[in-house]
Amino acid sequence: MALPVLVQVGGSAAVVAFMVAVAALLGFRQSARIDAAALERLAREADPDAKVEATFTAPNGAAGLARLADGRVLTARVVGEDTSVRLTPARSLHVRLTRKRLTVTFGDFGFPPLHIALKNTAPPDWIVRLAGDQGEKT
Amino acid sequence: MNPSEAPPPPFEIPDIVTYAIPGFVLLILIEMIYIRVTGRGRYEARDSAGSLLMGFGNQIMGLLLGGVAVAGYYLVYHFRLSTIPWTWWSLTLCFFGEDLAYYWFHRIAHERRWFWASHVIHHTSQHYNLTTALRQTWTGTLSLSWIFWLPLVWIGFPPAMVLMFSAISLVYQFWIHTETIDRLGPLEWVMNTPSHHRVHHATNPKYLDANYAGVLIIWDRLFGTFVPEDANEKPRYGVISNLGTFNPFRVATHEWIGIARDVASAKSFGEVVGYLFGPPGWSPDGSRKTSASIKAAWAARQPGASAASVAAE
Repeated sequence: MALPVLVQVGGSAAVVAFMVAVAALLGFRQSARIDAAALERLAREADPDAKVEATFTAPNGAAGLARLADGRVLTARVVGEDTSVRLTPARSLHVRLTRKRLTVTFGDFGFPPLHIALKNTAPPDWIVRLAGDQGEKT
Repeated sequence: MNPSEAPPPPFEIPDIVTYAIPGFVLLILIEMIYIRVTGRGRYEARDSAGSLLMGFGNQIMGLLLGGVAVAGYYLVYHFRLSTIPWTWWSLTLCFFGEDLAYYWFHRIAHERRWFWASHVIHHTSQHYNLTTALRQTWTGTLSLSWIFWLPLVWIGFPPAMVLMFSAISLVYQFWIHTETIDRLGPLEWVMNTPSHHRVHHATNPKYLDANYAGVLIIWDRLFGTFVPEDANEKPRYGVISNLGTFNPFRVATHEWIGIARDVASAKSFGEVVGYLFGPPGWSPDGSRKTSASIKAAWAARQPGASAASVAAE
């Protein structure tokens, strides 16, 4: 690879690092937090007809799930200071529950598997059933 | 297929995009500080990192594959209908022609999944600031996005002239990715502006599939895709199903992976064609959301919506 190209690529990488550092130094490091109210709001935004029956939020507020009256499940996660959701039929989720962790997997490459550390929080029965229905509870 | 076939430009064409980069950096830093001070706009370091890394990857892909598009231009130019010289009138015509080609590239990039799979990357940020402008595709050359400019070189515009105006358009479109500039008076009639482009990046149903312009907004007004920014409806940025990750490799490839999975599950050739070239969100049973279905559902919810107007959607 020619030297000017290497200089161009190296220079660009340095500029990227510099600008991200400036953004962080200026305090642009906010994180959203998901709670029951946020899940209600996100469900309404995803589908104005959505009726939330039950919610479960991660102890650290970084993710949450809501069960809707029509059998669908809203999964939400924090992405920086914003959130990202998926509203799917319960049967299309792959849920794995252990004593320490809840993992929800989607067939969507843009929404990686969601890992929720449970710490000392016991998930509600509907989450247990969701995992149990798929024979994944361990 | 020889660059020497084309009439040489009467001036040395600079590497416009490279020369603009210091300006990009300076304006981003100014915008960050302005937003920090005034609160008018939003930045988030990880989002900006994602956008800048996508721009960096786009630069790498340009170095590796950019020659493919240029070779394509010269191949088609070899079979041109005429030889257009470098004059004031040809430069004027080429400026308008390039901008029209951009409009159609951009519109089809939103309306057909094959091209959307590349272009979606530019829309994956939930922020709208100058770093969003640099959030560019890694797969544009491979997906043949450059074919929309081939008619210009086939007519006889020198490829270098077309590439020059494409670079000018790219640089122009940088500054319109901001929430810090409100409306710009009479400029809004003819130019693509921050206000018009905010609408383009918005996911609000009333703003979907609008304002595809590059430099001139006249094409949207002409072809019926113009939607003005509504002061009462703040744009929400991103895509319908926002990504759950900042990982640049997932950002760059998620829609291609989705296409591959859908095609693998297709039950007929028609379904394969639908998944590849149907509107984003197309599915055989209509169970997924497309822009059209989202807009129709939104229209049906508006006060006073009649059955006829909903059906027309």
